[in-house]
Amino acid sequence: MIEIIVAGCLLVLTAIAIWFSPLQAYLLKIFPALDRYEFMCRVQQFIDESLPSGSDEFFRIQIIGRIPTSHDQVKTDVQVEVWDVTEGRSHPQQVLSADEQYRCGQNAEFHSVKDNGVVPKKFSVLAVWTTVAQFPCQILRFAQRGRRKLMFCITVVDAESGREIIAAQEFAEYVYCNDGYREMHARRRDVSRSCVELAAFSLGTASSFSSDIKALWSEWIRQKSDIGMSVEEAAKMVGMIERAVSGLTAKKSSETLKAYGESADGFLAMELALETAALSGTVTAEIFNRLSQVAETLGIRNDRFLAAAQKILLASECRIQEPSCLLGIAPEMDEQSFRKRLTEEYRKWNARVTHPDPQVRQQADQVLTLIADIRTHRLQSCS
Amino acid sequence: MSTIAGIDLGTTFSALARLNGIGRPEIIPNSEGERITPSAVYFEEDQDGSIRVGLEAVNCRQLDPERAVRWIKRHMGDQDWKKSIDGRDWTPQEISSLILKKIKQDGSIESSISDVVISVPAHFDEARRKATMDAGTLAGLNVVGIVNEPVAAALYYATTQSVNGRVMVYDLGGGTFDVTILDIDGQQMEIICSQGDHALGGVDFDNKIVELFEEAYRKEHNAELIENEQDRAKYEDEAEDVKKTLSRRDSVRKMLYGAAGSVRVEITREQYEKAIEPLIARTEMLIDVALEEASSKVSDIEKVLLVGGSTRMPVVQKQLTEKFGFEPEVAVNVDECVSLGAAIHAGLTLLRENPKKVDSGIATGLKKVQLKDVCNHSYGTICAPVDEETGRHVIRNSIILQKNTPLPCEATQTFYTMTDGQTELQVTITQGEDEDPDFVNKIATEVFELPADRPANQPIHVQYSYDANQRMHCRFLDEQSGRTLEVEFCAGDNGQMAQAEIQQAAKELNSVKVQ
Repeated sequence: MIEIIVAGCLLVLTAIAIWFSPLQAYLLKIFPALDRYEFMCRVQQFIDESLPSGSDEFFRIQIIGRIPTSHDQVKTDVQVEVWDVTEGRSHPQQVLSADEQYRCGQNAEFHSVKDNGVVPKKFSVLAVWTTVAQFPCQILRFAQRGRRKLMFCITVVDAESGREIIAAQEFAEYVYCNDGYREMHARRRDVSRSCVELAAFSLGTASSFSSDIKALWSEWIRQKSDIGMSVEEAAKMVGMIERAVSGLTAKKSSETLKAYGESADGFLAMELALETAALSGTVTAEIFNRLSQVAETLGIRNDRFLAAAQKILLASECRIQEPSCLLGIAPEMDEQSFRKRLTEEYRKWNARVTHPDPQVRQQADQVLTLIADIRTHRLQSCS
Repeated sequence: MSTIAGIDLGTTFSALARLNGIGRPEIIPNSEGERITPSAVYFEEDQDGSIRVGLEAVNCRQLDPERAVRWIKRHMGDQDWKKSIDGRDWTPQEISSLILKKIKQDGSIESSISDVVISVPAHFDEARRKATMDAGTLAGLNVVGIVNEPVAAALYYATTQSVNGRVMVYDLGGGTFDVTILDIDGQQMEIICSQGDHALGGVDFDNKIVELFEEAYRKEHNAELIENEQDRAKYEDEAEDVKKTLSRRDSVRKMLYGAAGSVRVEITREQYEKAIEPLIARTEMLIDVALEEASSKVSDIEKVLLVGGSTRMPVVQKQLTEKFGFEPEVAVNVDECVSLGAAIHAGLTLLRENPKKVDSGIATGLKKVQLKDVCNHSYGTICAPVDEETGRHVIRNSIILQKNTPLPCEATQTFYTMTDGQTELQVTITQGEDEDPDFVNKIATEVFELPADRPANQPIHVQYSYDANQRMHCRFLDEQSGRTLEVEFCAGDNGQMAQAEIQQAAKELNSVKVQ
């Protein structure tokens, strides 16, 4: 019995001796729960009422506790990362930053690194909650809209070696009221698809499309869709549109485009339709009518449609079957409107006839001749 | 004192006029005794360095069209156009300088020609004006200014006739067409607006006749009449004769000789007038544009003055009579009035800039003449406003100085920097009316350095001013820092040839003999 008591006392004395010896650091590393100055972090959400609504909400990240450096006088940084763990910690989703200041290089992911100063002793304790990052909530971009569960990972690192010293995690909830980037990605896909559908529609739903046109669409999807589509994905989308061409309508595609796209997307769709028509070789009166219909359903003003049509079609090598359409001349126009319209076009193209670019000069010459011919024929037939 | 002169450097013909001792302009005939000289150049093959200019060049052209140049004015300012003769590339300025050299040479028999004003179509842009001035300098002339052809014609008209009211000058020349509307009150003239068509003139009417020749030949022989440049040159000259004859007679008969045989054609005036209908339609549209710009109705025009050889065509006079309800005026010689007016303009320019160079007799003669001109083109800058429909920034040409603003004029617009920390602003001075920057001439581009570390939306005031001597001054002012960027140029200072290049080329051309 005495032996047991002595052994117990010796054990306690040894533990006390170890605790007050340099070996304490290792002990705390093995059993961090033993440390009453355990390193911790917390995330606070607050509103700065002096700022306008929408940009007044902030996240504040604070740390406290021991920073177990390996030696004295260690320069440290604090890294903050955020993960969206709404779907579970095993399926974390990236949280992006709209502010470049909170990014790491070209990567759009949220990433904050701040100088945390010098830790004077190797077992120094940060005794009060210290703010290591504070940023507006509005800069964060999530995968989906709605209530999000966020995991904040805070890591103190050796500023020189980049080695991790200690880390902590904290969870917070945030309600994201905008479209998530995944939703937006899907919508951009739909918008791109609608743009190409409108281009296909303008050629006529019974058309088969040349390889040049399909290449134009694939490249356009890749360049303009803003969602980093691969060549294969773009070609697949083109293939799907080609197969579904007989069911295309300007109204349906325009509605999708207007619902999910930005107003500039309508103009991009119009340009694509015109470029497609230019590649088709001959722009028939029917194709031009369809192009005009596309512009109308997209809500594009006729003068802007005509300006784009003239710029794109005249610069191409395509043949325009009914050039008077391109000048905004309709057969039902009365003589006064006809003259006014032609004079407007004449004024515009006559100013371009001395342009330094020979291609523009040539176009202007052609259009002026065309205007004169149209005027002569129309007025002759009237008289 | 050297002679003060005006030169009409026309597409098909050129003419020289000087101011006499009492400030009245008079034509100086060329060495052949003709009052106008064809604007044609022929590079002789055998005689080294000898170049024929004028009627002889026209006559030689059919021998070897490759060594001849006509209608060079249509290529003025075109940097890509070159005529290669015996391994040497001739620019439009250089070829024009040969014509001017011949004119100067022929006109300098009594006294030397030095200070001149050269006329240009009203619609010529800066590059073409500069090229015309360069051509004069290369010919050894001191070009004191440039005058718009219709303005020159109006100057002569107003100083020789008793005119009052709103006048339209209808200048249909060999290669270009201009319409200018001005108010004349005695010898005081105020230009309201000018409009021009760069590719409409006698040459185009000739081409329509060539087309009629070709059509007739094809119909008869089912073969092409024109097979080479020599044939083309021949039939272009013949077409010009036919056109002139059709102005006097109802029909012309002609024998056409082609590879498949000959054919006798008769071209009637009616047939010709039908063929040129689209061209006449263009002249009518230009009149409408000019009237609209002058905020005038047809009934506001009290007189229509005809200028340029192509106005001799009866269809032109008929069309104008129908449109305005009165016959147009042929009060001045349509081939000479531009050079005569240019001489008056030269006198006015020298009186304003260097009065010591002007004889007292001339000064007295021009004392009452006053001319208020307008800006020939719109000048603007490239900016990036937010498109109202798309909500995105778009690149646009914003016009600061409007075309047809009375000179001297000044206008200011304010633009804003786009990004935080923007330290540079690319400023582009444009010429042209289009909103789309792809369709305007960018006549100067400079970089305006701005202070660092400032937020976006810093105001930049852009001020353009244009004086009576057609000197344009552009000032870009950063309001916050007070920094400025100033750009100044004279009509044509932005052209292709630098001063050193011109002097070098002038030296080279000095040794070239023109006959």
